[in-house]
Amino acid sequence: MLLADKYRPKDFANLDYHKEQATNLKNLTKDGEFPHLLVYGPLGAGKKTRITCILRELFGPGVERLKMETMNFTTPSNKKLEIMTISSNYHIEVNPSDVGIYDRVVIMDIIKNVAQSQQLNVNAAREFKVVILTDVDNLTKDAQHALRRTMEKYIANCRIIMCATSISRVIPAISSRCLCIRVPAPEESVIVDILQSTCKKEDISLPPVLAKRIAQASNRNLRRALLICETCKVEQYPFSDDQKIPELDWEVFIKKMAGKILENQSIETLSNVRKDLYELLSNDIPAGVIFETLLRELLRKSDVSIRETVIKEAAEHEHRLVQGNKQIFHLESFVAKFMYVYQTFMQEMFGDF
Amino acid sequence: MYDKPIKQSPVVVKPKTESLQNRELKKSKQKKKVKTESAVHGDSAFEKTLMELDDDSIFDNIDFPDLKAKKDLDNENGQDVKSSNEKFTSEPQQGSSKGNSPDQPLNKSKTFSGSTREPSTDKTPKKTKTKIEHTDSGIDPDQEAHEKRIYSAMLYQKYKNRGGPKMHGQKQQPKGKPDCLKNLTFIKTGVLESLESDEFVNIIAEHGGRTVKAISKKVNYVVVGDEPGPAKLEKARSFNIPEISEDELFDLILVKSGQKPEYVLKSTASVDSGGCFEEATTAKEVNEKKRKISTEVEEKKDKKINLNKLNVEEKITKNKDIDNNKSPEKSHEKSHTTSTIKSHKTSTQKSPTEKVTTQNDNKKTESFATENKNSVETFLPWTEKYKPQNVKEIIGQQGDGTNVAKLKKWLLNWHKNQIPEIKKKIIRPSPWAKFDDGAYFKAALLSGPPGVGKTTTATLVSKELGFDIVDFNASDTRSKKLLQEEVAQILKTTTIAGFAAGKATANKKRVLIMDEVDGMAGNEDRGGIQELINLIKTSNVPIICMCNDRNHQKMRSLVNYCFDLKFTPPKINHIQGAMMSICFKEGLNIPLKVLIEIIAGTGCDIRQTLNNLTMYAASEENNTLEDVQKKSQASKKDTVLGPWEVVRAVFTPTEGTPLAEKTKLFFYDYSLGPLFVQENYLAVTPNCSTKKGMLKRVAQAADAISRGDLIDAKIRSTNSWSLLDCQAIYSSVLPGHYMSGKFTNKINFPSWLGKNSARNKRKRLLSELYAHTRACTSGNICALKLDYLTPLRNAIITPMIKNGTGGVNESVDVMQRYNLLREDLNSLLELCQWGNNKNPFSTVDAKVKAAFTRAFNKSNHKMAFSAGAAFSKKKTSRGDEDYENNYESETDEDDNDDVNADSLIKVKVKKSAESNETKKGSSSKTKEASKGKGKGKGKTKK
Repeated sequence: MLLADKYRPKDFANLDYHKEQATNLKNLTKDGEFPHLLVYGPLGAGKKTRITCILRELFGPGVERLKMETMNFTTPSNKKLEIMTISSNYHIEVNPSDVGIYDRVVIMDIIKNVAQSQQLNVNAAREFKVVILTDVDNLTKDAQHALRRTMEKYIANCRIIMCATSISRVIPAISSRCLCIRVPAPEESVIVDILQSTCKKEDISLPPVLAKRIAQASNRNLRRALLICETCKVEQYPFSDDQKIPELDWEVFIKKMAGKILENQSIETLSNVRKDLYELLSNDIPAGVIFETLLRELLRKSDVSIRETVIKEAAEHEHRLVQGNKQIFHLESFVAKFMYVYQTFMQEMFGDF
Repeated sequence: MYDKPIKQSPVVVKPKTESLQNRELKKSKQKKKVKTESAVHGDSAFEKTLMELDDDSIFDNIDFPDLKAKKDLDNENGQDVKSSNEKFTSEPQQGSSKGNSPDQPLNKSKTFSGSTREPSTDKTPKKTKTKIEHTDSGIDPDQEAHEKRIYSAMLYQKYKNRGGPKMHGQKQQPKGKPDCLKNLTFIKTGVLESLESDEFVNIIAEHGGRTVKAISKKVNYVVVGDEPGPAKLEKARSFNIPEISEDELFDLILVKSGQKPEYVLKSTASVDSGGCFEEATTAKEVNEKKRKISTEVEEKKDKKINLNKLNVEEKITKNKDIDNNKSPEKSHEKSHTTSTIKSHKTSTQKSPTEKVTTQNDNKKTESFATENKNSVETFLPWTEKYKPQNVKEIIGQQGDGTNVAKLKKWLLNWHKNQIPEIKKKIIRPSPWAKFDDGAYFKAALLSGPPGVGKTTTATLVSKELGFDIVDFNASDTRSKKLLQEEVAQILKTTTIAGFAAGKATANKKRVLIMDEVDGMAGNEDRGGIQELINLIKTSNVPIICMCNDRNHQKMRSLVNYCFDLKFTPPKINHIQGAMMSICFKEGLNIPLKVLIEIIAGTGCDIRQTLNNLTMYAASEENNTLEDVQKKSQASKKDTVLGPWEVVRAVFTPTEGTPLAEKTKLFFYDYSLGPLFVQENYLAVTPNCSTKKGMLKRVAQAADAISRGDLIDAKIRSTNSWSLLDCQAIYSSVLPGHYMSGKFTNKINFPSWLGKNSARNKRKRLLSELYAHTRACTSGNICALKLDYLTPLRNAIITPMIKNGTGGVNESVDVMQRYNLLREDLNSLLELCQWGNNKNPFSTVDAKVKAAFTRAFNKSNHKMAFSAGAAFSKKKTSRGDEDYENNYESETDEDDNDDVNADSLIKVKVKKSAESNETKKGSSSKTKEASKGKGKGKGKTKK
């Protein structure tokens, strides 16, 4: 099993960082009045880990006996859909955005049904069940509105724990009904510590320098750090200090693409970039991630004077990308815009060529 | 009803005789008398005639019998015979002078019913007749007066015989200003071309004019029709009153109210249509002759009846027949005679009347029939009237390379080509072969826009080659069942059409014409196309199919079985020539430019052009070129552009094209259009001098496209289709504006569609993987994709790469811990595949792979998801058929080091045990199977 999963803490006592927050959460569970939670933070910060800890604290080790079920439901337009749920006797975990635009039906049908029925297990530690909704920030507005009332009405029977990367896309009505818990990404030093302690458990000797480099490469994403470490081990073991840290395929790809854009600004380049973008998108790399990585790369090479414009344009196009249907249109438009801005700047700097 | 006239006649005759005697006494004070007389009759036409005849003041002295005697055959019989003769001849004329003009089919039936009733209702003829009897006895000392009398009697006869207006209701009456004929006085003489006398009065009154019945110096115009009264004319001439025709009258009305005259012009144009009226009159004359003959026979018969010698009578009938010299009538008369003879036996008195009446009716029917036919021909729409009558007349289809020639050749050789020995030699031609004669095909498909002559070609060519045509078009139900039952039956049996036409042998050559095959759709015609294809395969007659759009989805399957003949619209100058000749025939004067404009406006649709010409001929104003241009612009056919043409048009520089035109391009296909624009805007080199300006334009275009997508999303999510106009601007017009220039690359089909479906597939694989690993991983699906996949794959494969078979257990262990199925590994491998990188799993030895599969299958799966199997099965329902292939392919896993080896999914232990035995035999089969698997999921091709 991968290190990231093998040594994931299962209760509050074993958490490595944000210990103060952990104590608070633990205290929260002791109270009978456990509120709805909205846990948010960047990828690899430990949100899920904390949610598992909370569940275990609430219901005991019985929560870990998971079963996976598919639930069927029919949309108003008579389309039959199914959604995967993970559940124990005490909780159910659903990601409504799995079914795309029909997430509202999931909220209305499944969640409501679960919420309406009472906890039947007499031995249960709590009188309520927990519904875990993941990727809440990907819910459509309709689904979020459908959730509002459910959250209030059935609070006696169930608590909802929501998990999101960012609450900017969660409507205020939802976030105000929840206790929002932010889980920040761990510091680099924390990651280094964890990497080393994990490696010790596995009897791997990890040089501190390499550990630091891995931590840097992981972009404060603990999971990624552990996975990179594991990949490094596959590449070369025993470790050496200056060993090459493998980069992720898609990152390399985007960087290459950024290089093309910066090198030559023309219609031909744009056509090539379009092909690359299609490749990325058809590999299901989220457009937001592409945008972010690309912008980072482009900004690195562009002059301070145009950065503002570039960022502004990026923000504008990213917004459109979320609103629109076809991501490639907006990505391409951004690239075209950047090319124009960049070329104008270069010509001003070095004169016409 | 036949009894009526006979019974009535004696009753009616008596008082009339008296009144006439009275009249004779008072003949010196004619005028007033006559007027009272006419009042009795209540017939204005008669009254007029009386006036006409009055001028000669010989009204009372008409010597009818004499006239009759001269005109008819020698008649030594008594007056009663003459009278009956007279009566019967006069009846129908009276009817027609009453307004039942023979050339009006509508009135036909009326006239018929009227004519049978006439003896009872119409008093005029009887009166005349009785009068004649009496006058006849009077002495005529003056020879001159006698001749004059004969003359006027002829006139009267003529008057009675004359028909109604020839073109009644066919001419459009002019609409002038209401007072344009003020202070003008008109008089009518003769039968006008289209106006009844009361209509004539009405139309004059409508325009403020005055009509009189007697001519005087105050009259301004004499409107002269057919058979004018000579007295009136003479008087008019003596008063120097201008004579005008009906058309001139109409033009007078138009000119006086400030419009262009047009009637005179038109009437000369319709000369040929007038021809049929001449025929009608001749028909009438013939009719009359016959009637006389028949009455003559009647008389003879009467005699014989008195003698009660029936057999002699029959002989005479024969004689009469010989006189007649007209074979079709023979049988008619004969039957009538015999029937009459029979009736004579019972009642000798009634029969003559009865018989003649019926006979008259029959004659009338005939003459009406001919007239009717003639008039129908004149009313035919031009498209029917000038339909090509033979192959050479088809516009734009002369010459060897044309479709007509090809079809002809194909049809001619069809039966020869179907002979098995010859058929074997003919190979299927390549779809791009230029000079193929279609010998391979059993059916032909004529395709092309409407109005270029597809149906005409098919029918005429078939006719010319002597084929019998079995025609099915969109108005027939052409479902699978019907085609199976009826058409197949029709094609198997032989036609007896030849027998009916008197030919000795039945025509064995037949052709099935399936018109409008693209109309075979919907519930009615379900399965029709498929059945048609079956029919083509088995048919032993040639089949000609016709459709408009051969690229249509529905036609796809049919096209493969047909000799493809594409009809393109003929050139303007081809149509122009034919149209000119038609215009000439119709007497339509049309400027060449206008004609060309009309043709161009219809997109070279000949039928439409003819229809428009009819409209042109009918309407009054659009004589100027501008008007026609405007109209043809409006009536311009909506030609549907394909997306390729649309995108080309979008980026073509257009100065001064209205915005609406540009927007229209978007609406040809508003879902595909924007994709095409987006795909191809980079293929255009905009008309722009500097490199920088070019990039600016690109950026602007891209920005517009991106905004267009926002609107598209809004439209589709909230159904606000009213925003389409707005999207048109952003998605089509603006990019077209910024990037207008030359296409430097070829136009591509939007790659977005393909990429999107590839993306969706990967998304599906990923979500499946996510569902399986979910219980033991943290992080959402995005994290799985970005971070997890590669390490997970490595964790599974590396042991096998490094340790070969020894690492298998380790790999299986990882798989199980993550709840992965064997097929998930394939998804995983595919998802990790990036660009052209090599798939690391392909380096693994096939034996190791097989061992891994076996080990994996042996181990117990304790899946966390109980419904897992069902779940994954459902998800992979598309790959269901692959399973079978996989069962096969796994058997040769050991010796097949193909990369496809990783498709061993769901191997069962038993199966792999068998594999050793079957591997050699099945290896070749498996290769095929694995090739044919297509893009079923769970396979990596590299």
